[in-house]
Amino acid sequence: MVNQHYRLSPDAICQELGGETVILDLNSDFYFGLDETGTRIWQLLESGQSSEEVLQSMLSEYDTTEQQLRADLNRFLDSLLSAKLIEPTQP
Amino acid sequence: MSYHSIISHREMVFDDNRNTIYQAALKESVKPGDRVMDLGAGLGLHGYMASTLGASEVCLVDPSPVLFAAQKMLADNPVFRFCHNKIEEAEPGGKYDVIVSVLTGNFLLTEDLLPSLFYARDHYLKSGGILVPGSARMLVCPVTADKFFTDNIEQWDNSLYGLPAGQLRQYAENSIYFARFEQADAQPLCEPGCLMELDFYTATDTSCRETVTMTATETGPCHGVLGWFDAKLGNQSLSTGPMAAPTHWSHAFMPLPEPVAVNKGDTITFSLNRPEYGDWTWTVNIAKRQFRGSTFLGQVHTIDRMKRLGPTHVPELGLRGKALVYLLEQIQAGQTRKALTTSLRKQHPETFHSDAQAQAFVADIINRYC
Repeated sequence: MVNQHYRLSPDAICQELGGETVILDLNSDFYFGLDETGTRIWQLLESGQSSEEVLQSMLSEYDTTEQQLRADLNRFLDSLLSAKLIEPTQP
Repeated sequence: MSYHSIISHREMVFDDNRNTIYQAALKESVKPGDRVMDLGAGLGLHGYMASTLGASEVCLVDPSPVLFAAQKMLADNPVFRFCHNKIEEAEPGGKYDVIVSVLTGNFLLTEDLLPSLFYARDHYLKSGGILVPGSARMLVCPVTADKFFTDNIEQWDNSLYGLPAGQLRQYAENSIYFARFEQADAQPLCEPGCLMELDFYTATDTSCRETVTMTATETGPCHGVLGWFDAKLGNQSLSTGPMAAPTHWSHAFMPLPEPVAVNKGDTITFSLNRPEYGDWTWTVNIAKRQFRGSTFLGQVHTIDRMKRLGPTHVPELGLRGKALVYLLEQIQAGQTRKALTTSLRKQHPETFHSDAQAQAFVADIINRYC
């Protein structure tokens, strides 16, 4: 995983409730849902953390291996990128 | 909105301002011998007006049971035909010279009725035929609406017997309020801006992704943006705005999260994103600040509900769904109403805890589908 900063799409409207997040993307008019883990990653990205920093934060919070988490995080970031909910940016 | 009771049509059918303009437009449009469709006819008033102007045939189309009330009033007149169905499923037969409709919702797009008008136009309007109305515009205006804002937004800040209701204010800020505003209740800060214009003869899409820029002509606090529509019916104009004579249509108030001071000469930009059948999202740039509200944020969502909206969701039948499938099969097999109720109760005891519940379910399904 390349260490990368991301910017949340300004066209994504989010609502967090009970640890889960629902998103309306104004560009596509599609709705998305993030579970508790996805919500935590979303929050960390929103706070300006890079992908590597998100990984380290999640490792300190969740009982999992780095290898597993790295694979899950990669998959998750890919899905956010393909849905255009995030885009790579400079720190 | 439900249009299933006669009473729910009272405000519309007795809306004199609307009726006068429709009548004038029909006088311009309907020629003796014309075939006229009254789409979303309700009690059939506009179709009746067309008949008095010499239409040789008037087809009233409406899925609501109130059409039977129209039929009761007009059955003796051979000019009338009645299609008790949605236009997409009706068989009105042939092409029409004029299609008259009132499928313009509040702020034009609410209720998403216009796609049915476009369907009727594409399938049943003669070449060179007339649509009444023929076009409409969505208009917006930033307003000072102090009392409304206090009553509907700031009220949430008050403690409710100690319950911290202020946490819910964000839902109030992200809701659209449909109400009728007098000028005194919502003082305009600008000349109204035209957000979108729809030509009903050519339009195919009723989604809105438009922006309008306005210049403040007054100084005062802005509490939100008021939206409405006006329509052209031949040479007649119908406005549902707060400055016009009142009609049965409501205005749409899209609040800002807080009052913002506006000075004469300030630029105010308003954008609306509203896909067909979707959420309303409004963005206001005012006094160098940007505010965004969305009905998406005005509702309590759960991830489960969101999943249900997703295109890849595979739904499963719940208990009532299974009961419905069973009931439809029994109906198709030719069972009596009594037998249907008895067998439904027996087969689905976990869904229907009394005969009365099963009876009500059967009655509802029969009314809907049989």
